[in-house]
Amino acid sequence: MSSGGLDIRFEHIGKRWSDGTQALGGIELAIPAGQFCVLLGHSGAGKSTLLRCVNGLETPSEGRVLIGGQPVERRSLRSQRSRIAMVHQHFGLVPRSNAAANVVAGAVAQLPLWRVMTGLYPEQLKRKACALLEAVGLEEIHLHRRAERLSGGQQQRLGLARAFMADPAIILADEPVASLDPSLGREVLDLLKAQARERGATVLCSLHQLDFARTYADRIVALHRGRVIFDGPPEALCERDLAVIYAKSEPAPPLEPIPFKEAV
Amino acid sequence: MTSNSLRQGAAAWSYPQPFGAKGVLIVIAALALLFFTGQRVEVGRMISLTGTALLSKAGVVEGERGGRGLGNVMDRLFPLQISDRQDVARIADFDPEHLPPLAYVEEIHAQEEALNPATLQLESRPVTKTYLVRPLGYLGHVAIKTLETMEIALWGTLVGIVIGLPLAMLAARNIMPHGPVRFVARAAVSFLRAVPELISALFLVIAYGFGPIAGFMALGLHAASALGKFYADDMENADPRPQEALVAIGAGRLAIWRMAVLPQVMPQFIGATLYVLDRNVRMATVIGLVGGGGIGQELKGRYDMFEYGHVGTILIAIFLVVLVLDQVSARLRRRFL
Repeated sequence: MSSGGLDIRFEHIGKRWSDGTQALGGIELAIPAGQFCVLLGHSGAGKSTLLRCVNGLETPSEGRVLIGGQPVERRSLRSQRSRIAMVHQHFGLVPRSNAAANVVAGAVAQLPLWRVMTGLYPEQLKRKACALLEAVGLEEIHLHRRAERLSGGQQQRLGLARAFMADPAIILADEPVASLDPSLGREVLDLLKAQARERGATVLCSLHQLDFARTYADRIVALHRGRVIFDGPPEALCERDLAVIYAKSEPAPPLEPIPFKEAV
Repeated sequence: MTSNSLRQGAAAWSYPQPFGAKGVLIVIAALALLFFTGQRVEVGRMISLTGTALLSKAGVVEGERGGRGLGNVMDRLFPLQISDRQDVARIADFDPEHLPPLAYVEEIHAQEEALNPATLQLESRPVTKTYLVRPLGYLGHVAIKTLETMEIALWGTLVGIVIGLPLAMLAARNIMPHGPVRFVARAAVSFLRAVPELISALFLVIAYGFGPIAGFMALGLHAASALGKFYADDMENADPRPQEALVAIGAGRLAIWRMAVLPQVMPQFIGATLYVLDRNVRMATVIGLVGGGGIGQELKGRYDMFEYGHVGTILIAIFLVVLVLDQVSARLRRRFL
């Protein structure tokens, strides 16, 4: 399979909900292929919305997203989505379906419909699923266990295995560790980073834990009230930015983004 | 200070009063409704007839009408008819040397009144009639008919699944995004539901003739409506998050249905299907009354011939089937849910 990442460009992305709330405003970002970019911000900052604009789960009200130079459009959405994996905060696993079935589901876009309907998957795909399950640290005994009977950490490992099943060029991780305790979160992020690096995939990962972001990110983009307020390598993050990102009492939203620091 | 204000606050809370003017009014209105409608459905007459029957049974009253009540029905149903008697003359290729197991031949000598064509007088002459008696014959017949009923129910359920599942998929919001198609599918389900089995069976009897075809088709159409609704609602209530996870990686609608919806709703599907199968077995006995085959048709025939002993046997057979079915479906439910 092809490997290597695709770059993502956000061109003046704005998103306004139907109730008038401005979720995103004027996001300009370029994420080069193979980068591990962390979106940082507290809940409601617009991290998820921005992520979901990449694979078309949300349509931006203004601006457009380009993936590998191609704009994300309704017409080509399905073929574009087949190269974009997603890891969810709530795992998004199918309950009552076993681990093996959940992992194979990651390759659904590559399979002909009759194989999906009959559940007769090619042998090579099953082998790949097993290899991935092994890579994320699940064992033989988990293979036929129902997804909801696995522990939280195991479920997210399963989510990772599913994400890598389709050899994605881009991995969107929406708060992948928010529902896990810190040590498990660390393991999951280690896996995510290692597997993505192995494939050269671009990762866009939203987090709200600063220490995780500092450890794993090649680049941190901090969002606050739908605007980018910091963009740069983790080392460049200073107290002043943190004060804004994690402001308890909401300060007036900055009208202009804080001057950009050089991206890596 | 705080506790004091809390106490005041608690005093200011209003608790719902169990009996109030509104409650009394509702009770009066309900009673008025019951009296009015009760008269129209002759509840009073029912009570009086039942009471007379019970009292005459107890010997308190000399009831001339009591005998026609429920007790009389029970008297006529017993003894149950178990054996089967058949005039040998009516059996083709009767071979007295090779009787069926348990069967024996009975000869009955009787006097027969017949008109003598020569004298134009009624004359009495002796006749000998030979019957083949099978002691468990009728029981066997009922068993075969019961089996036929269950087969009708099974096929009715199958037809229901085959028609109901596609309809449900067209009607479920998360599988069919186009509103008009969903509306048409829901309307079709409602239409099927609006036609009771007995009515559709009447028409299907015209189309397919008396027998099991009309029976299982009628059951199947109604089952399709029930299953279409159950399946559609179950699928719409499935957890949307796994579905979204598959949307996000470019899966098509059918693939999402197969991979993310079906595994989730399988237990509900099985539960609904078992319920429909259970109902179909009970309805299959009724459907026979209008010519849909099975035990119901036998019941109707015997009832019309005033053979209440046979009717009793049939009723007990139906009761046993429903009892066994209840147990089996409860067990299956426990296994799958």
